[in-house]
Amino acid sequence: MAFEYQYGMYNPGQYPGEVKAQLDEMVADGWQVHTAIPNYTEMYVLWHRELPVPSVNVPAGSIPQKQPELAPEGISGGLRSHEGQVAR
Amino acid sequence: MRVRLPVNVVAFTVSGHRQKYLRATLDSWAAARGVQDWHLLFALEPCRLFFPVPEFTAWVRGAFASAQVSVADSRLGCLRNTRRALREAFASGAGFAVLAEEDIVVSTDVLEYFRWAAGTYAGEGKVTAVCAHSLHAGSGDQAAVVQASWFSPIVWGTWADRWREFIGPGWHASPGNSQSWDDHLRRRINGAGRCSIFPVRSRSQHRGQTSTLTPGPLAEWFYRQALSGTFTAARPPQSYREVPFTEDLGLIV
Repeated sequence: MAFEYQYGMYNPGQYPGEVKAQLDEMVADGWQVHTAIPNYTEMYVLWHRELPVPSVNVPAGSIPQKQPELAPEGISGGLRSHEGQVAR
Repeated sequence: MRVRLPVNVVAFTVSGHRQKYLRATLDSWAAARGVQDWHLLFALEPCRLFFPVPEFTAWVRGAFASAQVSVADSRLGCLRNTRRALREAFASGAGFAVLAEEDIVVSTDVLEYFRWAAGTYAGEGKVTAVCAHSLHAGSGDQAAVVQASWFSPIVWGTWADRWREFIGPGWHASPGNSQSWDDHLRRRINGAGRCSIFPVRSRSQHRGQTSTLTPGPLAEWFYRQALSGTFTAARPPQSYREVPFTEDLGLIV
């Protein structure tokens, strides 16, 4: 099981409505709170979301005879992404 | 030849204004495993209420293996008394000091957590503090910790070098609140790209509802948020480990 993470800094004490909408949007996108740490009116939230596991479903006897073509140079895999700071 | 390691200190600020919480807090520290290996320094300051210093001193000396009571000459307030407590702790030779307060209870493994973190991150200067508090967690993993460019004052610790080189020299309050050393330190850590260590499941629980710092609705907000939904007093020993999250990458597979 693999997770992706991102963090956000929020100020619900000062902007409660705005922050609630931001949090709701994160949850709607499949993110869950991993850890939330308060400091006065502000909150640091570490979010996590389970990465989809690529389905490997190879029927018996269907092992491909041809090697897959290599991806052209310059289109390297983009597993890493950083959605950045959510709010501040 | 045996090398004598620097002593570890729990520096405990006592304002005297929150006496109804103090006993439960002291009982929680007395129940912390390994407390006999720590020196407890109680930094008292004079207050308007009656506070029986001789009886308190006798009690803590009986309750803890190594305890000392230091009473300030005058009332210092949260900003200066907290700095005094940490200064005295490091002046006594502490390699690592934990800052405790009179209205925050701790779990039975809190000192095991601090000892693990103090050793694990001793050589990582970017890690400025080890904090005991978290409010909410989506994970039930009792042993997990995370790094975050943040700070929580609800029981925390730091090393002598980080106190001397970063925390101590910049010890001030944020604008608008003359005592808010914790908010100021949070902003400095975040602004400098430094970080703190946090347990995913909280090792501390704020119980206080009395403060002269944050009156009115802000106090309501502050204390409601300071309480933790992830705190459990009794915790068995853990094999602590860091969740491999970094803010630089944002994604770890």
